[in-house]
Amino acid sequence: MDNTKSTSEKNQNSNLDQNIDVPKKGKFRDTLKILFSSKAATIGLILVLFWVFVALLAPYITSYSPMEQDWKSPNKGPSIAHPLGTDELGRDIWSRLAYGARIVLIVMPISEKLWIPGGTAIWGVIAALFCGASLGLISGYKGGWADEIIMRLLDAMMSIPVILLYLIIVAALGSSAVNVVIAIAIVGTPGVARLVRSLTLDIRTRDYVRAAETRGETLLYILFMEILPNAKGPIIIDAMLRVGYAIFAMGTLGFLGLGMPPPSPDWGSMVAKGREFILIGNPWASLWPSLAIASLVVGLNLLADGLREESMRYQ
Amino acid sequence: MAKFIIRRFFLLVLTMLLVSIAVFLIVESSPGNIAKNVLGAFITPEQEASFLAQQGLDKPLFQRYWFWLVGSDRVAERKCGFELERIETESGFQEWWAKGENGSLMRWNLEGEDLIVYIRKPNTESNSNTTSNNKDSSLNSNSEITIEKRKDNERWVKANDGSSIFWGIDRNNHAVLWVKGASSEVWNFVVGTGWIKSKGGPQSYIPLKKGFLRGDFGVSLRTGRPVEKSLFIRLRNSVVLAGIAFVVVMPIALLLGMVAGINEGSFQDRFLSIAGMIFSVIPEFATGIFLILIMSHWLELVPGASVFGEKAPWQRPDMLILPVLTLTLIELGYVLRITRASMAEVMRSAYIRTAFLKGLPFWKVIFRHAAKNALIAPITVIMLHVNWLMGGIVIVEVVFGYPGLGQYLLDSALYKDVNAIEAGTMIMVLLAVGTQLFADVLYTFLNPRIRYS
Repeated sequence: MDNTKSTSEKNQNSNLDQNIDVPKKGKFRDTLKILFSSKAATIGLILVLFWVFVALLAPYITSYSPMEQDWKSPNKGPSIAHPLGTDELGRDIWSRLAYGARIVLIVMPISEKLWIPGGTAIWGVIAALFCGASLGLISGYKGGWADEIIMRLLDAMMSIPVILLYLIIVAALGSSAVNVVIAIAIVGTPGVARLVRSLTLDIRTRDYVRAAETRGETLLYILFMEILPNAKGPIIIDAMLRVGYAIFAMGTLGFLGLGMPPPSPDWGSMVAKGREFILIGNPWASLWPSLAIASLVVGLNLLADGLREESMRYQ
Repeated sequence: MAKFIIRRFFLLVLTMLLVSIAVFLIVESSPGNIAKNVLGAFITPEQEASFLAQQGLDKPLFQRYWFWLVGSDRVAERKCGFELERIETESGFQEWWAKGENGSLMRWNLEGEDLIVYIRKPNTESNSNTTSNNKDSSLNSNSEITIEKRKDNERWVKANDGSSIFWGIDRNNHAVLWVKGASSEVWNFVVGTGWIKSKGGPQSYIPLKKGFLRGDFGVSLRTGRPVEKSLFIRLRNSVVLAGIAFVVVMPIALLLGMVAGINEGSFQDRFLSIAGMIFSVIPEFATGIFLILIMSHWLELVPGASVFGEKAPWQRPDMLILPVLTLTLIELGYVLRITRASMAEVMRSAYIRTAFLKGLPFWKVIFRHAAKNALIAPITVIMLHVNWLMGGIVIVEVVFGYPGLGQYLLDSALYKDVNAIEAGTMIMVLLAVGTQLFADVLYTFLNPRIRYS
């Protein structure tokens, strides 16, 4: 026990030394340095990058379209023609996984014709960040009754079980990518608002905020140009965790039948559909999407966790 | 302290009120059609309108919310001039009756132009209470209770425009307005028979209920039964699942968390933290699928679903294994991490160093000095975590087909069954906020340094 302890301490020390020895070569370099000094964060980065590349290159690394049905071989296990097997309609699971990753990370289907860049999970987090940051900034900067009302309302929202919010919002609004984004945003807002508020409370006493006030800058300028940029560090790490939650939420909603409408390759609904065919002997259709979602969420969390820990140690 | 509790209690009530309003609004504004959900996609517009009127769904939103909250019997009493009483029949149905002048219970029906009154009387004089012994389950051929049926045309009241009207109680628990000779058509769906069209039906319906504040959750549109009948069985099942998971998780998680916290930075610590984190961030349904595939599909050790039928969960403990295991894996990481952080902090403190330096044995220091202080935070945070646990339970119930509250809520939400959604939501919010309040109070007792002012 003592041995492991001392070696790990040594490792920590050597990490510290290295970090201190590194001459400043720009922020990006530092971030990478921090990343690769942690094994967990490196693994996380690899997992995330894997799925990002799969999502980006989906049309080039799959030999079928995600909707193409091969009615001669439904519910088959892995084979040469279909590397991960086929689902109950004979659709290639690997293609569906790859295009599913696209929906999560790269594009968001607004309607059948209109797809906008930026994955559904990403937009959900952006929306949550925007709403939460606005509320948190106002609440923290203004104080007084505005603070009281906003925080009490958000407290009330936070005390409601998350799953209940998802259920009611999406079941009521109907299932579409936009509604999933709305649900993720509503659920994420209170957490972001609290974080931003606590950061704002600290920052608003700084001299540069006082200076801006004296210059007679508008409220919006002070909030978004003075305070927000100075709070971005913790917000970015929080956002990364939130992308993990958002993917988690998307999967859960899809699994409950509240995700993307049916033919689109949604990981959660692939699991839900595949689950029905375990009994007739096709475990693959539910196994692969479960693994995909698990690996992506774990990757993001390892990355955010490692980053936070290492940056704290670095400071 | 009392002030703090009162304040928090007020906040709880406020939260529940806001949530109930929000749920009403959301369910109202959502697409989909409850009439089509209940009756099928091929109903005619007349049938749909008739159904909505009978369920009181054609009323304005605020009125429906008010009726849901405080009940509609007061309004109905004012309209028809009788005192109304809700009784429970021996077969478990809830029925509303009007109390007549001499204490008899009455309901009406319209046949052609004749008002027919049904008077419910106990047979024996001694047993005047309406809910009596349960010898016979059938309602009308009951030995204790007779239903007398006769014409009752004196009740018609002349309205201003010359027509004869009557506000009474019909046989489906509505307060209704009958107009003599009115030509409106009523569609009634009778299970097993189909649609029955009748003329001269009621012009206006008020579905009778006591309201949420008086403990009546209303009737589920999906099942046609009072919500509380299904809800409390489901709640019990969920509590059984959560309780078992809690009992399994807590000792393991606290122990492992302490092990990790004692040797902060060691291999055990890193392994436990990362493993715990991985399990706690994987979505519940993915963990569930992995366990089903491994334990049930490939190893064929335990059943991969929890289908109880009429049985209670504890009568099939083998079916509980996988749901509990799934919940355990998910919850373990979270509690472990909190315990670890708390333990690590305590281990760095001066009094622990003092205890070691004065030569106390290792385990004595850990249990007597460290654990006592390190467990305060986890125990209260676990309480706050009920919120999260509920989410896990809902998914686990869906994965394994476990008949719990979460599954019920999901079905109701997909069906737009507003009474069931409201009831389930209120119970969940009450549990979540209530445990948070409890955790705060507990914390002040465990940690006397905290004072709420």
